[in-house]
Amino acid sequence: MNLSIVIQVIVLALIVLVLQIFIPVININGLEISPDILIIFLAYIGYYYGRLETIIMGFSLGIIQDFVTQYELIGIMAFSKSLLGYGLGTMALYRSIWHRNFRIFFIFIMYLLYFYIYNYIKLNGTTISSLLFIKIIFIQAILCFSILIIFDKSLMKNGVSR
Amino acid sequence: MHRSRISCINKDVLALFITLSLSAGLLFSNVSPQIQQLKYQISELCGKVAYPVIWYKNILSVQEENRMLKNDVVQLSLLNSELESYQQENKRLKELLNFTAYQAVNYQTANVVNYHLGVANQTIIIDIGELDGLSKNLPVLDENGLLGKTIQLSDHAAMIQLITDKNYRVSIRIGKERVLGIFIPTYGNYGILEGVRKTTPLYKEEIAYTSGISEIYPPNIPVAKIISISKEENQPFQRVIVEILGSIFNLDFVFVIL
Repeated sequence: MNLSIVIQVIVLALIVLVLQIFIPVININGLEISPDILIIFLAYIGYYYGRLETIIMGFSLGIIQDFVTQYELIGIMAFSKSLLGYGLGTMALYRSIWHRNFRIFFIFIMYLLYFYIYNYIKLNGTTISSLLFIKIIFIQAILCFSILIIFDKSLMKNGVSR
Repeated sequence: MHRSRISCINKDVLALFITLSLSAGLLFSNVSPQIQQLKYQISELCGKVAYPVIWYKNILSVQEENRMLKNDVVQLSLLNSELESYQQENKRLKELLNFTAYQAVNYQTANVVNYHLGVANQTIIIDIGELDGLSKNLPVLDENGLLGKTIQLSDHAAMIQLITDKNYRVSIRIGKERVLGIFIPTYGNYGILEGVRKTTPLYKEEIAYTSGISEIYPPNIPVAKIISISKEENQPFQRVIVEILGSIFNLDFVFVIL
């Protein structure tokens, strides 16, 4: 990765971060959910550049998000996004091998895992039914995944679903 | 190519390890209930994972402990047989000297219901009295030692003159030679032993017991322990300062020897 690409990625990351701050909260079945567009950005980094870059990006964006959005669980975003970065970075290793459908399925599974880890820590110790917990994870994952697919189909020429 | 692939994977893993360590460090520095719960779950998991190791170590330590205990059992059984022979010998010698048999102490337990800790007179009231079988001049003690004696009685209460009362005296025996002396309270939890000859060897922490000479106190009730000993040239007796063994200032219940 040369310097100009690094700068481009950083600028893009900052733009996505600003967008994330202004993204509205969506009410689905009484659950207030804010789509995490940073993980969509991480999917592209993982697809184009590899694990190391995605881990670093995930950690950096996560830690900024941690300090900006909350104070009770500082580190939760950095932790879960670092793991997600490792997972999504795998796509670059098998870019020419994996079929696009498998790649999309893989991203969805990664999102599910990410939201599972995030919500497991966030909702730990609270009295919440397993069904509601699974519902929250699926809604968040499907929401982010849908945004990714829409964005990829409509704007990206060489995206993850092509 | 193979080598570069390996180093690439290692770099990824290293980056993941570093970022996860940093974020986990941050995460666990929080004090929110979620993190407390998470810490508890992790420690529980670690306990379960480490269980076989601990179990194996326990087995080894139990074996070692068992070996040591067997050793102890052999030594103690030897000692026991020696003591049994001493007991037989002691019994035989007592019979030769016409010693009377030891009588078990009969006592009643009483609750302390009131305190009077004046400068000179120090007494307590207990919740048993004449109708419970008490009479005047019965010794009172706790699990540590002598506390005093009964001085006044009603049907269901009794007044106890404490060992710390200025007018209290008790005859004691002390040292290997079991020499006689008089215990006199001085201040607070302390007192002195009067009448102990200079030639008597005494040591700190030695315990003075009731002598059994008095009509009130049976022998061998612990009274006080030595905290300092001094010998003055002009005096025929040692100056022995002692600390009372009974928990005078923390009384809950007492025993009255009948």
